[in-house]
Amino acid sequence: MFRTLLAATALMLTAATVPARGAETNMKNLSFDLSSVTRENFYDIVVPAAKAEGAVTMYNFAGSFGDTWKELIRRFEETYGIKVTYSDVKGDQANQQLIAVQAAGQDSPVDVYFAGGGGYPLLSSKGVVGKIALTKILPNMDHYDPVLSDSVFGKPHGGSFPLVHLNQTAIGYDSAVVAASDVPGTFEDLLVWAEKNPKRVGITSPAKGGSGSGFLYSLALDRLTGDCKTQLTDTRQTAQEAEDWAMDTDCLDPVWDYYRRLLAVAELTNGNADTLNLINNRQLAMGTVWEDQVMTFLGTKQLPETMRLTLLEKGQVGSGDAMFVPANARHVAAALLLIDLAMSKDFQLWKLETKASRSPRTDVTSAQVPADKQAQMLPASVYPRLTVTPFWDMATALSNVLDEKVLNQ
Amino acid sequence: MSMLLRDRRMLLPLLLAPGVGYLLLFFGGPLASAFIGSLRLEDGSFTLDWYSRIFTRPSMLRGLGTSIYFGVAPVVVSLLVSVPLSLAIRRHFVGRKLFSGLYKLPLAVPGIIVGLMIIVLFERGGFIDRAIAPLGFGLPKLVRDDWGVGVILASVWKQIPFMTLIITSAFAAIPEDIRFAGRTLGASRLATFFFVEVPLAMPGITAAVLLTFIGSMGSYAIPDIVGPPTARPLSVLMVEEFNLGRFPQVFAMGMVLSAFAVAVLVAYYTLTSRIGDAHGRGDAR
Repeated sequence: MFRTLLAATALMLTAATVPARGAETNMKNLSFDLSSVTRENFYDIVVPAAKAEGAVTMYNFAGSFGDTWKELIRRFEETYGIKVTYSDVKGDQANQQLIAVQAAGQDSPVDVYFAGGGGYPLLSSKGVVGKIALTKILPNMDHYDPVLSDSVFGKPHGGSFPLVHLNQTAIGYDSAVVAASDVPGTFEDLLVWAEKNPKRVGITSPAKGGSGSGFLYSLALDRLTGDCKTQLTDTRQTAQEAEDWAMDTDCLDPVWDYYRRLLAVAELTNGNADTLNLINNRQLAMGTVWEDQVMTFLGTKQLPETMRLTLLEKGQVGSGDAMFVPANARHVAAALLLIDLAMSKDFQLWKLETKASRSPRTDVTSAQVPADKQAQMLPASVYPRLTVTPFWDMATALSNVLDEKVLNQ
Repeated sequence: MSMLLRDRRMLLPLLLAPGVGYLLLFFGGPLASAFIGSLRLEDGSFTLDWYSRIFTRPSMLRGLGTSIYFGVAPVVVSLLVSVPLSLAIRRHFVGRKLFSGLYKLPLAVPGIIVGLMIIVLFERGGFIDRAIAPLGFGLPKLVRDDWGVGVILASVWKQIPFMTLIITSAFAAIPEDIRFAGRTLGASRLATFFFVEVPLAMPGITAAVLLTFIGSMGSYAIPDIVGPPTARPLSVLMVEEFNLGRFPQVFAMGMVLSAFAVAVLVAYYTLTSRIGDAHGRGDAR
């Protein structure tokens, strides 16, 4: 109690002597000088401020991450004694809530938001993302992948929207059914296998699951060349511009032709879990999947133990989800501490081992997890060599146009 | 205040205010707001583009057709089960009381649970498929199928109790004497049912049809989970548009669905008022 009072008094004195930097950071509730925080003095400044705040709220958009964040919160509360109020939310609805709150000039109802990585263009354009260079000041981001530290999927964020979890779309197959020599290495191989084995390949509907839209975008990357590919990967386009291009261009005809052939012999499914459920029911032998979801399903015996993963040559989309401090959050210091702990090597390794949640830390790799867990992940021969960066607005545009030009024709 | 109440011109609006005011505030207001929203671009300028997309884009046109199909098909099947069930419940049989309670259970089960139940039971490789596999049988494709059989099954399972409740009440309201009169005048049991009881119960039957139709046409969870991934009803497409943040499109789709529901409502009133005229009941008025 005495230490808390001491910390609060010190904080009040500090706050009285330093200028509020809220205007610069779109954080109007700062109780400490954020601009003076560096990696070196981070804990000296932030820990007392966080303890004075005494609480932090967190939103989680990913249903499958409940247990992961429960463990993070346990460690956080044990280490700092700061209470975390946690809520599972539906990402799209939470995004709209934060956009509305920001538009009304109110305080953010949440301090830490674990959000889909693809949501950055929308959230940043509406001023929801707090302008804090997290990758520059959090001590546990000292080994952060430099490729990701300033931009997410081609969109610059200056360190304010760091991915804390990376996931990978893949081709999942039951090795008890698909011989090692038949495992597809290219998109063409996959089509040939599907034609030889009708209705044994599951393709997740791009409108209903990221493994489907990731597959579609990966296919487009594989098929397009030259100016067409430049346009496909130009992340400066808005979502509407991407859709207009995808709707009008002839560049994508090879993609639609491939889909027409594939869907004539494959099963289009209603989502990522639907594809895995059909593999578990032994109705499908192969399908488009997320690596981390496969490990989750294996952990709960909802997939055969013979399930294995691979990536197609020329690459498949790898994605990720971010943790950020929303603009005008109430407990900024505690939020910074929570994100810092989420990026600690220990926690990132634990997350990799239990969920196949890849880490943006360069010093955390699958080679550090036990062999039985490595078998449930993508082999080192294909990952990270064949992971490619998505442009999610374009992937969504392709999904919409696939609906119009192929699925509803 | 008492002056106001004595003034008959003021009395009527005051008496109507709780009902009409509530409707205006909580139904009319949001509806008007959605309608205005459906006619605006992001910069606030007027447009009909959102409606144009509904009637020109293949996915949306198909979505409209699918919404109507998923509204009509389960109602037809439910009606074919509910009418005989209502007649059966009217009779006395052993365990009638228990049955009358049990058949209402699906009313309490949320749509999403029904959808998941259909997947667990009727998916290929699911519970029933595995149970009959040793006998050399296999289930046809009932989930994600092009005809939406899974959606119809799930909707019917949920709708039958509701429909049966209303239709049972409609039949129960017909005095026994009328049926006996028909029989004494020489009508067969079947003729009495079709030409005496069904017409008299028609207002109740059409109300049940209408309410279940509107419910299933706007249902989201069941078609999203067990419906075909290609032909998706407008309700499912609306949520997708919402997720993309295209609110004017969501409003326009909602207006089209509402317009269709209102058209059905008008047809219902027209039909029931005719029945009322013909049979001197007219309880729909």
